[in-house]
Amino acid sequence: MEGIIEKNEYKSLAGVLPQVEKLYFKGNVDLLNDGLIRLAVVGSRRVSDYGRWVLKNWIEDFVRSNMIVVSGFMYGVDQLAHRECVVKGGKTIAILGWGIGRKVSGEDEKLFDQILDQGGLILSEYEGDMSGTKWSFPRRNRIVSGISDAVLVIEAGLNSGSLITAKYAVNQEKKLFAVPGGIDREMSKGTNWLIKNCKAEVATTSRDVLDIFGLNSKYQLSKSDTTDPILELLKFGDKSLDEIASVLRIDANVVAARLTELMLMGEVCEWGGKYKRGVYDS
Amino acid sequence: MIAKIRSAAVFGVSCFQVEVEVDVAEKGFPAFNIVGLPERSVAEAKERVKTAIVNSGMDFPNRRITVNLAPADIPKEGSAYDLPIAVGILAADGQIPVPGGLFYGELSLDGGLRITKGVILVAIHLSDHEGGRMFVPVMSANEASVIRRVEVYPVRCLKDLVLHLRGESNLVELNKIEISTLIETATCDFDLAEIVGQEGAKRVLTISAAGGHNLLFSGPPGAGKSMLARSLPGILPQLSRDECLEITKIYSAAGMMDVGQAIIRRRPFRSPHHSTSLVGLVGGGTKPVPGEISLAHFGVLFLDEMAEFSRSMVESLRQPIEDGVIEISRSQGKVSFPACFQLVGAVNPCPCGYLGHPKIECRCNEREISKYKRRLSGPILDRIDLHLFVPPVDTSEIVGGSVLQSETSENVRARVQKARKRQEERFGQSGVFANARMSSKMIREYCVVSDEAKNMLALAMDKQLLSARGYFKVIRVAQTIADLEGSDSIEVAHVAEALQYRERVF
Repeated sequence: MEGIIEKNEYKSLAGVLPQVEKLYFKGNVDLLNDGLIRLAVVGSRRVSDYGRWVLKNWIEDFVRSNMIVVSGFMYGVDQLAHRECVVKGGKTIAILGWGIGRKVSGEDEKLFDQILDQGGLILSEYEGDMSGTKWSFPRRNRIVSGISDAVLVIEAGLNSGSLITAKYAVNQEKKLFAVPGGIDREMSKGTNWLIKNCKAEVATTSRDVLDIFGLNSKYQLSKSDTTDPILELLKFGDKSLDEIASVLRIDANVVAARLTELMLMGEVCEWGGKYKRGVYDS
Repeated sequence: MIAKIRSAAVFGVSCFQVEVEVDVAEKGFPAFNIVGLPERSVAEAKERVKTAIVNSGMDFPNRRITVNLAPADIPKEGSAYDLPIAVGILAADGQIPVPGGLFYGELSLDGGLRITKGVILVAIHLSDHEGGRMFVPVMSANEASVIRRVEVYPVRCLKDLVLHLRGESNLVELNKIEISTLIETATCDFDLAEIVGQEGAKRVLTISAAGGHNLLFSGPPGAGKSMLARSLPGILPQLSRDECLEITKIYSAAGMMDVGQAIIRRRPFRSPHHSTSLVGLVGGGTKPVPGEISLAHFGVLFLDEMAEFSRSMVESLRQPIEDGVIEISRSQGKVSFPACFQLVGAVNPCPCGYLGHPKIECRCNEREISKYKRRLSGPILDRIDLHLFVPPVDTSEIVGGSVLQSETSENVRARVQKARKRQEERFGQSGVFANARMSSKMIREYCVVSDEAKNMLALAMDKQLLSARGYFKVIRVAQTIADLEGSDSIEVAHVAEALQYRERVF
């Protein structure tokens, strides 16, 4: 389904400030109805493995709680959030920084179709095939935060566009969350700045976000109490196969086999050759 | 008078007989003509032959000389016809009796013989046909010393040969050498024990060697990917006699044998740079020469920075990886070079190289990373069974030396050889010699997978750890792991380990 929404048609659009005159849409426009909880998940184009891990582990919880993930369809955190949501069977709203009719290609097109197939919604305030410009991307950020009930910044550098979304969220009096990161990490400087200046609340688990809406993730965060030596070791940080083998003094082949079992159990995940606790099935 | 001298021509890695007919005519103006489709290097033989004969103290007949290279319809190239032409002229002029035997070699202006490519091919050709004597340059003669049924006479210079043919002095026949004695004394040039840490990578190398699996390392710069690749030939099983001969044939045809070298004793390791041309990589050219993939025959082809190789280059490896040969078709005919190599690739995880590095932050964005990954073509990745991320080694480990002494290449090779033996017994006469070459049909036929292991595979597919096309690759690798352990069936532990070396879907 496609069409045009006028500004007074949905109550949720009242939060979009500065006001939009009309919005072009494709897909399931009911996602803008009252009573649904929309969460904007935003971040920078560059994503570190840390950011990926957060997305992989949290989005699932949001989907389980029937939240609708809103984001900006830019590659990086935005698209990962959309994709993760779609993969987990959730509904998501993407707000484009370009014209609603503009063709996207390759991976973008695939994601675009997946979002619509799963009952998601694509929005843009620009008509036709207008291409994205320097000003259209920051401008659409006000819609991202405006139609959402809360905004969660996963990762952002100091000059990231996500901080513009965060600013809109504050001005629109939306709840703002930021995921803290190491003080030496380029990609966490923006989120840490938000926290330090009391602009955003700290989110260290998905539950921090779920709680303010009175939602509870349906499964326990600590999934098991097994005292597997590998799991115990990974509590102290991510390790590569070699590191695990040398610390525990177990042969590499045995470690590899055990890691597979732990991965299949959903206890351990892997990214870039490092193993860490939690899920990350690629 | 006419003299007919036997010689041979090398085309690709095959050889055919050429008869050099020389006529020194009584009548006509003095001239020196070569017919029988000589190419430039053969046509220039005139000057070399003339000068060499004069400088060896013989007379160059001032008559009408006609040389025919028969069969006359095949193009001839190379400098190896110098010696038969010179001998033919001297015989036709009556300075020496018309000799028997085969002559092959390039002349230098002072009458000496130079190193000449393809001697082993000529010797094998002669041995396969009627056998007999062959006269070849002393610097290349050792290649022929491993071939039975030929009498090899190394020739230092034209003068020595003339004296021998006149019966005034004797050339000494070359002693035969047994290939296996040469292979056994060969040492590997890079030992696994020299590599600090990287236990996971060493394990993968062992599996790769045992099952003949192609291998892809990814990791940040300085992680030691190329060092690891270099140690692979040292743990591969020792060359067999036939393998050794085949490799030597290629190197001899390419003119890459050293002075006095008899055979290639070790498995080759080739590491072409990504700026290599397509012909340089797969072979070819107007006069077909073996490329890097053929020079890596029965050895290791290492593509460092594999993502930097152009797509067409990497794609061109598909046929040889499947068939073990490369067919080159040219207007002059078809040549096939053997190219049965084990592929080891190394890639950075992202354009800047530091994705996943513990200390240095990656500077690439999402799009750049996925674009970079797409540069490796799917069909090639399909043919790589083992994938491993190589983390950087902690420098304190190298300096501090608190590492456990790891296994030497020799010990690992012994285990590899045992695993290979199991595979040979299993496959018998099916034409496959290693697990990596099993088709999916053969997997069903030969691999015994325990029920528990099957469940794990199903679970892995469920959890999207494994794609359908990755399924058979994991079984192949698991079979090799089982062979290394001496187990008759594939158990859970084998599958679980193999899953860690699967291709990651990013």
